[in-house]
Amino acid sequence: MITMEFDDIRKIWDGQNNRPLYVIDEDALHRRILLKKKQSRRLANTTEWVMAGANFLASSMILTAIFLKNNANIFSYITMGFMALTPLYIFYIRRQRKTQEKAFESSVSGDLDHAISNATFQVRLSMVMRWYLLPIAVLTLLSVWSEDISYWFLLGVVVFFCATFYASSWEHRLYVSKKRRLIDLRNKLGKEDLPNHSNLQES
Amino acid sequence: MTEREQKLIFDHWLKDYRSLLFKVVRSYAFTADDQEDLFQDIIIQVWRSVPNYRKESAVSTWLYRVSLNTAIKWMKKERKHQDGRQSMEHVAYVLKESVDEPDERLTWLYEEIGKLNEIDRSITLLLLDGFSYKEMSNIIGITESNVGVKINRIKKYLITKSEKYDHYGV
Repeated sequence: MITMEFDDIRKIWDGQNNRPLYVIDEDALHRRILLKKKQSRRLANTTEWVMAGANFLASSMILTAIFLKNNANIFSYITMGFMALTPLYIFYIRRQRKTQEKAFESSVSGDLDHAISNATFQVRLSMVMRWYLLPIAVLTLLSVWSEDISYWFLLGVVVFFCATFYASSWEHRLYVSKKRRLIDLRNKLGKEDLPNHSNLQES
Repeated sequence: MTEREQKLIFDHWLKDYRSLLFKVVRSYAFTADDQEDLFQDIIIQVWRSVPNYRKESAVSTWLYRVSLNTAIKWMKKERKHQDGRQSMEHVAYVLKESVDEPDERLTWLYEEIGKLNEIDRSITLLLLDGFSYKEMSNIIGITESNVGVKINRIKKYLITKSEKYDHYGV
């Protein structure tokens, strides 16, 4: 049995200084960036469809309620119209995003720019949707206010919108953080000298 | 500091102190997936830390401080989110082990370091890289006397462990 002295252990440790433990695999780096790009695209797609679907469904429900009730107020009509137009806006910006996608080349830098562009889109969409909640909340409150309902119900509506606003703020911060990580990765790879396809300042 | 200046410093640090970062990664993360994740976290924190570096300490001290703090935070986060990890087949490893024949004694040493708690692990790395008690105390944030106590315990631990692995002896 041989016992090492601490100096022997240090010699073993120092031995690694003369040779790198790891090297960076550029192909793997590209694959990782491709994965990030796919994830960001999938997320953007899902968000667009969910937002459009939810607004369409909500406006349809309000429309049904208007038909069922003879004395629907003006705010119900405005809310319904507002929500019915939202999917159109979402499909408009979706189309813009899809057109922009064609501008990115298939390379490490192009794919990373593409992922950042999708993340920027996601950040912008989540911010728009967060503030979009405010007019919807006001219209809904005005709509239910003009009907004969209890204060408890009104309070429930307020709490619901506050919770939704809080959740959407959290969601927005999550997307901002994801985008920041992509930008950090881009800085790390020294990409600032390459053509810039996305607005990095926007978040 | 402009972004270009930041990048110049960052590139220089990465070139000259890469092995320091790898040591921290290897001591705190054990699967390729985790090493990958931690390496990325450390690199990002190092990048962000560049404008805050005031030349009051050596670059190696600064980088150890940043990377060890990141590694400890990463470990805590990992414990919380162990279920939410990405599945292995989707991961493309950016870090590739060097083509050189691995040193078995070094592998053993990393295994033993990995068995220590977070703080002792940090102290061991700094001790093996020749940092003074004062520097260690500054980096880790514990008193010098506490560092001394821990170092004695760590030395004793590693020497005792080496007895059980006599084929690693020199």
